[in-house]
Amino acid sequence: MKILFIIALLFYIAGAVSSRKTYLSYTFGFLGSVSAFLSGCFALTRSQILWDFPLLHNVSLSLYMDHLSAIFIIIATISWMALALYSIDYSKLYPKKRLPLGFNLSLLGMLLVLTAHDGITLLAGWEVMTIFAFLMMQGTGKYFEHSYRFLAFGELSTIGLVIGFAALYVTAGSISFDALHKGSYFVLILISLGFIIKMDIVPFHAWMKGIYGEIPDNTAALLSAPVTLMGVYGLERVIPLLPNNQLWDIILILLGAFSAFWGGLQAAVVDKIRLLPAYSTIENNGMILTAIGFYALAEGSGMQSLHYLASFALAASIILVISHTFSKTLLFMSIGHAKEAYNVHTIDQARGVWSGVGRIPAIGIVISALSFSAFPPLIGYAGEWMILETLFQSYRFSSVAIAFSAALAGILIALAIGLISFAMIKLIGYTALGYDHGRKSRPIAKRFMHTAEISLESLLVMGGIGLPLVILFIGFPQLLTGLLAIPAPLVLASNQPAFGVISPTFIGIIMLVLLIVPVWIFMKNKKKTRKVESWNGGIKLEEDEFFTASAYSQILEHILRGFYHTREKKSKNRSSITVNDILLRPTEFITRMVQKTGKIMASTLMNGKISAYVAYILVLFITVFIISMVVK
Amino acid sequence: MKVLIGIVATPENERLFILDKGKPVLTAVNGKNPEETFGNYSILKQHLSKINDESMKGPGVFKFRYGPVTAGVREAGCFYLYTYGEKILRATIDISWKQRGIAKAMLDKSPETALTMAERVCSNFAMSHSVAFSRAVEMAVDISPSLQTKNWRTLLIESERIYNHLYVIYKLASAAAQKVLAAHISALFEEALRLNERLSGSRYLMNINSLGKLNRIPEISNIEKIADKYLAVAKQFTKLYKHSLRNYNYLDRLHSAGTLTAEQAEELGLTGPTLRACGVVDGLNDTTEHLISLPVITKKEGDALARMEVRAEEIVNSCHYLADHLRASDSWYDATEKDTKSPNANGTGYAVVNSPSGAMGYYVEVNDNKMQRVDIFTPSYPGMYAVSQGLEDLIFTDFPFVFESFGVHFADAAI
Repeated sequence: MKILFIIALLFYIAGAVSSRKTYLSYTFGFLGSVSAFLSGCFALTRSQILWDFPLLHNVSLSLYMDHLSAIFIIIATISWMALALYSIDYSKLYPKKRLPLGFNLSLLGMLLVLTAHDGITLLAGWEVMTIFAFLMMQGTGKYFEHSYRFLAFGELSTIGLVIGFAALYVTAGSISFDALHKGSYFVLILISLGFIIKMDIVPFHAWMKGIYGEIPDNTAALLSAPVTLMGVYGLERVIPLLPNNQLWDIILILLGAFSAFWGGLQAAVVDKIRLLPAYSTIENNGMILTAIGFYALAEGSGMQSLHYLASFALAASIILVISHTFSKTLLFMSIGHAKEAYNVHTIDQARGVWSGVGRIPAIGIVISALSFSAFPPLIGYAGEWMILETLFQSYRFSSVAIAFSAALAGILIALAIGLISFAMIKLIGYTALGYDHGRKSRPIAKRFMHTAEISLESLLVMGGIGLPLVILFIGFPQLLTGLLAIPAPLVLASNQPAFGVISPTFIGIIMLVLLIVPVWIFMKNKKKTRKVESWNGGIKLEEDEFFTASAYSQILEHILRGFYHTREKKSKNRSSITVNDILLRPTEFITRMVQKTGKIMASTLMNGKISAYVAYILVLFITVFIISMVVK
Repeated sequence: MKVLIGIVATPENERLFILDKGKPVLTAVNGKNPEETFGNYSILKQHLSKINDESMKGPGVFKFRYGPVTAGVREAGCFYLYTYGEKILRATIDISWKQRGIAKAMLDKSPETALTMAERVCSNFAMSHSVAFSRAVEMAVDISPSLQTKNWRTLLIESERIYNHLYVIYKLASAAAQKVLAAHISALFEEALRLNERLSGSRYLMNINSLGKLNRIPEISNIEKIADKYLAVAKQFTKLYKHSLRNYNYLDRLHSAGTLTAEQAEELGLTGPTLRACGVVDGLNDTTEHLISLPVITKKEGDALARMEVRAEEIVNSCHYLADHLRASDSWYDATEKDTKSPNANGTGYAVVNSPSGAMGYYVEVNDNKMQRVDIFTPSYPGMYAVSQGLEDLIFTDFPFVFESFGVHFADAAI
């Protein structure tokens, strides 16, 4: 395991060193991920300390792999492998060396995060991941100001973690994860906030809007799936170890649910093809946060009767993680494939991927979008059913406040699921299966892209149908049972005695028999069918008469204009409508203030006058001197 | 008030066809600027087949075509709705799909043949077209119909108003998802058609009117029963109408939908229920020949609900009017006058009739007992402009009941 881990690190370093040769660099990235995947597989059965280096008294830098690390390493590396393969072809479109360099080193940073067993190692991995992900964002060669917002939020997350671990050191005298149980509520809040920021939970999603349209597709996939996964891992790692606080748990549940609702709400109306999955990330991570908060609440209550529910909530969070990581990676890859083939940016412009670009990316969009829409038997269906089933058992808590909060979260998440389905249908109906308007795609290299896409498509289907195996893999065999004619362990039960049950395996078999077989027979005999053009009032539709993707969403913009802050400008022959994510306003305000302050500072102190600069240094020196005297 | 009904233009001159206090007048332009007096002058002058045809641009704006042959648009007509997806920014209406060239087809035909064609311009307004045409021709060739004929024509127009208004309200209720109300009104509509048949031999009042006379005089023996039936229709309708006014779901859909101000309505040269729903009293009821005029119903709000209210009250009024006059109709037989004058073979005539949806005008020239020129001016043409304006800034959901509330027809707008 240790050797495999070291090999993985070496491959990533080799990938970074060989970044001039992008093909080779991504191949190293792929091999590193395979190696990391194998080390994760070994760690499923046996925990191991990989490295332990005493730095100071009571402070060691250590790397450690246990069952939780192993699960997250396996999930993450599957996404990394797919992205590395995809990037081999993709790099022909964007051959800048900073892209493979950033890719390999950010994977290295993430691997450190997933194996870190102390605050310093975690922070080292965290910073490597953030900085090199930022470097990847510049991979198209374009400069854009918004990418610095990502860095700002990344550093905000780091600040939370730094102060949190510093506070842990003050209270426990150690920054090892083993000392987390001695941490205060202050430590709990700061460290969890550090991870929540990385999960893009609202309002910490404000960096996304101006960025996702500009960055390379593999970077978008990496930021949306594996990087946010690190935030989830961090929470799953520290929450069970830190002291429990009911109020904080409730805040996590409600914040996650609201984030899910808000992400769904915004995803439903965006027209930029990559912004839709980006908002879907906010929705998904919101659900995951709620599940983690619920787990902490149920487990922290100490009630034996809630133990099953706590396990179910934790399993829900991990199933959602698996679903999100695979589906989102696939969605970004498929969308990126179509976007680059068409060389476009909006959902409307990327219509008809099935006929215009290819079947494989179209199927990728359909399967991942269906998974996000909780379509059985895909794994997203299981995850979203599990989170709802968890929250609808809030009545099991004796506290009315908890029951009410969890039920409210359930309502918000149910709405979020509805909204995200609405958004995903737009991707399926317009982008994947829509009419291509005779548009032809440009030829791009796609052999490795197809391999990566097919792999994740298969995993998403198999992950749903083989849900019992996934549940066993993540370590919750007690949640599986049998019911009536369905043998154990094909049924997933949300409580004992049964509160609710599903069996995606059984649904898969039924669908295979009742849907796929008849469709196959029908397709075999399709010579007997007659195809006619759809009726459009009796005359051919002109190009400007097609119902657009933004039109599909406009009913929401109109009815929910309070949420969207819908504004219209209309003159005699020109009209436009805008919707706003009002939760971006605080960030925009801060940005304006920083820019204004920067300008003032530049004109007063950094204006090239030596006297002003000397005065500035002097004032700073005196201030520092006074502070240090006071502290002493 | 003066309303410009149409423009009679020749290469040499241009005359304005005006309804002045219920009387049709034809006046020469004579160097005056009619655009200042009549807001609808340019509409009538251009007589475009694509109404309000100006594109709307902007991010996300596209043209949604509805028609010409599609569910929801019952005639061959086409709407181009400029929209972001839900809100109607502009509604262009293409009436050309229904353009049959009837006025042109009437040329060189005998007035009797042309009358048959006039009846078939728009079946819901068959009697109005028939009476307006025959009055214009009678003026041209100097025929004076008997009082009995004049009276029956007036009554038959009222019976057309009843069934047409019932139809409009049925469509409105249906579009506003009031299926029970729509079913009841539909039954009354059928009852009104049956009464038409008992009176005239035709469910749509066709082939009864002729030049200077009626082809068939309604039988007096049945009159009392028919009058009772009309009263029963009025009673049943009043009950349904009052009931519908207590249904907030129904009212919410019609209230403030497709609103026109009195200024807008007058600017477009509207007449009939659409104008009266804006609080303006028109002189159309004064076009009634010989019999007393009906009271004018007005409402102030100018929305789909106000238009429905005007039509509803007109149904009740017309039913009572018909019942009263049918009972008195036996006296008309004694008043039959013999017209000994022989008709002229040449002449010019014009007439206006109070059709269910507004002023219906005909201008004709007869030469050697052949139609030399026919100009048809219908309420549905300016009505389509009103529909276009009324739809602006509404959402798609409002489309069916706003359109139905104007009671216009493509067949009537595009001759």
